Order: sequence, then structure tokens, then C-alpha cells
Amino acid sequence: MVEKFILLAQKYPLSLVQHILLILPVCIGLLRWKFLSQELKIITVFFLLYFSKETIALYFVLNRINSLGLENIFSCIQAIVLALMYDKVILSKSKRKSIYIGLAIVLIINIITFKKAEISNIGNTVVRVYMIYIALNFFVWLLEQLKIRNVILYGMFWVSVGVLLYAAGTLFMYLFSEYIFTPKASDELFDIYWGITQIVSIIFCLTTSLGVWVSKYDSENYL
Amino acid sequence: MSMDAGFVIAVGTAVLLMMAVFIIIFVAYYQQKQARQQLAFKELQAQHRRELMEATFRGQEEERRRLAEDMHDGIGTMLSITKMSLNQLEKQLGGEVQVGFQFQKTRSMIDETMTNVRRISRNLVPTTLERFGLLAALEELADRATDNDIEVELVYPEPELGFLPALELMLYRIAQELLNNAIRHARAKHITIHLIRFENEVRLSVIDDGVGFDFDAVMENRKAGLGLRNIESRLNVVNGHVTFDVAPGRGSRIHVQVHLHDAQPVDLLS
Repeated sequence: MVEKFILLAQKYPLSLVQHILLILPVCIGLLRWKFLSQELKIITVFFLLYFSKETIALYFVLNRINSLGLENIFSCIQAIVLALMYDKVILSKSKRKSIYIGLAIVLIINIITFKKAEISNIGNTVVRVYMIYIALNFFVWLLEQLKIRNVILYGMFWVSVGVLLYAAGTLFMYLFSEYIFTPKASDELFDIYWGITQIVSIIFCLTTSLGVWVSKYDSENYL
Repeated sequence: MSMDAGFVIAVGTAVLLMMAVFIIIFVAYYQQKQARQQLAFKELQAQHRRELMEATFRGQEEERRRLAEDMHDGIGTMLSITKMSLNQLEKQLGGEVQVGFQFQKTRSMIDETMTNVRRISRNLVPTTLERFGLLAALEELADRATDNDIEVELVYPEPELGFLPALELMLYRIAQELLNNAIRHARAKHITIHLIRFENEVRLSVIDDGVGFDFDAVMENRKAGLGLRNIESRLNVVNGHVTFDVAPGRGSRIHVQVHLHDAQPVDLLS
């Protein structure tokens, strides 16, 4: 199993880096726990779940167990956690209502289109569209409210930057996942798109880490 | 996998990512710009409020001065003339015992009224403050408040403070208000006024052993909280602040803090 792991790490070094980096926001979050608002505590827990999911998926891969069903389940968890997180920060009733209506639609579509042994392209695509929607919703709220003195030092801004880039960077790949994540796809193309997925995931990790890091300024950053 | 699908994924992802980056830059730039405008607007509002307060306090001081002058020059002079006239009338009427007693009584009433006029006039415009500075004025204030039941003590480590006259007047008025509250409302027996100057800061504390008060209840009452609100307003003008360490049933500790580089109060004495 160790040999297999080393072979995998040599073949997909970005995956290894991404897997290790997932723990970075968790570590920073634990260091900054007393400064963290509820929404940032939720995202810290989310990255702990993300890391756990990647570890289980790695275990499945090393033991030749299909892990694609786990990806589909985690996609739903992503949508639920992000909805809970934005519910804590966006105080507009109508926007919060739209977040929960959107979440209900996303979950229904995911349940209907759930696939155990392959990537559910519709379900995953809908989750990405939903992530883009709630990140944009947050940005609109941020501009409407004008409560933040310096957005660069605002934790949730960086988390939303990560959510938006991650969702925008993976949307088309999940939309056309039946062409990429199938045995028919050439290894070369799979590696390219898998690499891009890992890069946007790393960006998501880094921006979230930055958001959690700057959270100590949040209390003084209100107008 | 067809090349068309690969091309669509690549172009689609690139376009979406570019749009996302554009949105992020726009949000960051626009939000910063809006926040700066909001801050500038708030600063302008605060400045306007400070100017209004300055004008109010200046008007108040001018009115007090006018009133003090009127009392001293008008009523005081009239009372002196009345006393002289009474003395002359007594001489003209002769030395009847009954009438003499009545004259004596009237004279002492006029004397008492003259003393009261002088006291009110002195309270309205603290001439000691203008002539000898804050410490002398506070010492006089403490001496005047001290009697058989009440002891007022002034503590100051430095004999020279070197404040601007307007800041001295502001601190004097605050001390006057707090001392008055401690005597009249808290029924304190022992009051200590601390005045300390640090490098760039001045701290005035008034500590008493009175019955204390409920700060929230007093501030909610528009009439009762007027004096405390007045202190806060005076301090707003110089970006100073006041801390009320108070509770019903125990002595109060009220601390006033003013940063000297922020303190550029308008000259209220002019």
C-alpha cells in the first residue's frame, strides 16, 4: 500500500500537495479560534471534513474501491455547509431565503441524479452553480451594506473569493465529466483537467487560510 | 473524448475564471471606494457635530460671563448703594433702639444678598482659573466645598500643568459638575479629585464615598442625565472620553481622559 501511495504521489504530485494543504485552514483556524466568527468556524470545520473525505478517498483508491460515490456525497455536504456559513453572515432575510430555497433545489437534484459508481455530472454542476450564486449573493450584500472598513482584511471576503474561483474553475469540468472521468478518456487529457481541479482547490485552500488568518482584524473592521 | 468537448471545457473554464477574477477585483475596488466615501462622510458629520458643540459651549460661556458682569456691576453696585443709603437714613433718623435693631437686620440681609451675588458671579465665571490657572481654581473649588460634613481633597503630582486655557476651563467645568453631583446627589462625605498629566494625556478622576447611582437609569432620564451628557458632549469636542465606574449603594469613580495632541478646543474664554 505504501508503494502504491508513493507511485500515486509521483504521478499526481499536485494531488498530494492539495491533500496536505487542506489541513492549512484547519490549523490556522485552530490557532485563531478565539477571533473566529461563527461563519469562519463553520468553514474551518468544513476543511476538516474536506481533508477527512480526501483521506478516505485516498484509502479507497489505494485499496481499489470506487470513491466516486463519496465525491457525489461530499458535493452535497459542500452545498449544505456553505449555505449554513452564508446564512450566518448575510443578514438580509430575502437573500437568506433564496439561499435555502437554492439549497433545497440542489439537494433534490442531487438525490434524483445520484450515482454510486460514477461522477454525477448534473448534481456536481448544480452544486457549482449554486456556489457561484451564493458567493455573488454575498458580494452584492457586501456592496449594499457597506459595513466593512477594509475588505482586504475581511475574512469572509477571502473565503468567498476562494468559493467563487473554485466553483468557476471546476464547473465546466463537472459539466463535461462524462468525457473526462471515464475510462475512455485519454490519460493525458484526464491529467490536465484533474491538475486544473487540484490547482483551483489549492487556491480555495490558500484564500480560505488567508481569510481565517485576517479574522483577528474583523472586530475592528466594521464601519 | 472528442476534441470539441475538450476545447469547450478549456475555453469555458478560462472564461468563467476570468469573469470570476474580474468580479473579485471589481468588488474589492468598488467596496474600498465606497467605504472611503462613507468614512469621509462620517468624519464630516462628526466634525459638524463637534463644531456645533463648540459653538454651544462658547455661547454658554459668553452668556455666563454676561450674566456674571450684570450681577456684579448691576445688582452688586445697587446693593452697595442701598446699603450706603440705609446707613445714611439710620443716621438721619437718630438712635432709637427699636429702629436701630430693624436697620441692623436689614443691613445683614443686604450683606448676605451681596455675598450670594458674589458667590453666584464667581461660580458663573471662574476668575481664579483665568488669573491663576486650573490647579488654583480646583483648590478654591475644593476649599469652598469643604465644610464640617464634607471633605474635598485635591491630588496632583505636578504643580505645573501647562494646558491651554480652553482645556483648563473644560476640565474645571467637568470637575465642578462631578463635585456638585457627588455632594448633592450621592451625599458623599469624602471626595478626592485627582489630576494627573502624562506625556500626551491628562486624566481627571473624581472619587467619592457616596451612595452611588444607576448609570443606565440616570442616562435614560433626559432631565437627570443632563449633567453627565453635558460632560460627554464637552469631551466629544476634544476626542476625550469619560468612564463611569458607578453602581447604586457604593462610592463612584469617574475618570476623564483627554489626549493632549487631539485636544484643540475652541477658545471659550475669548
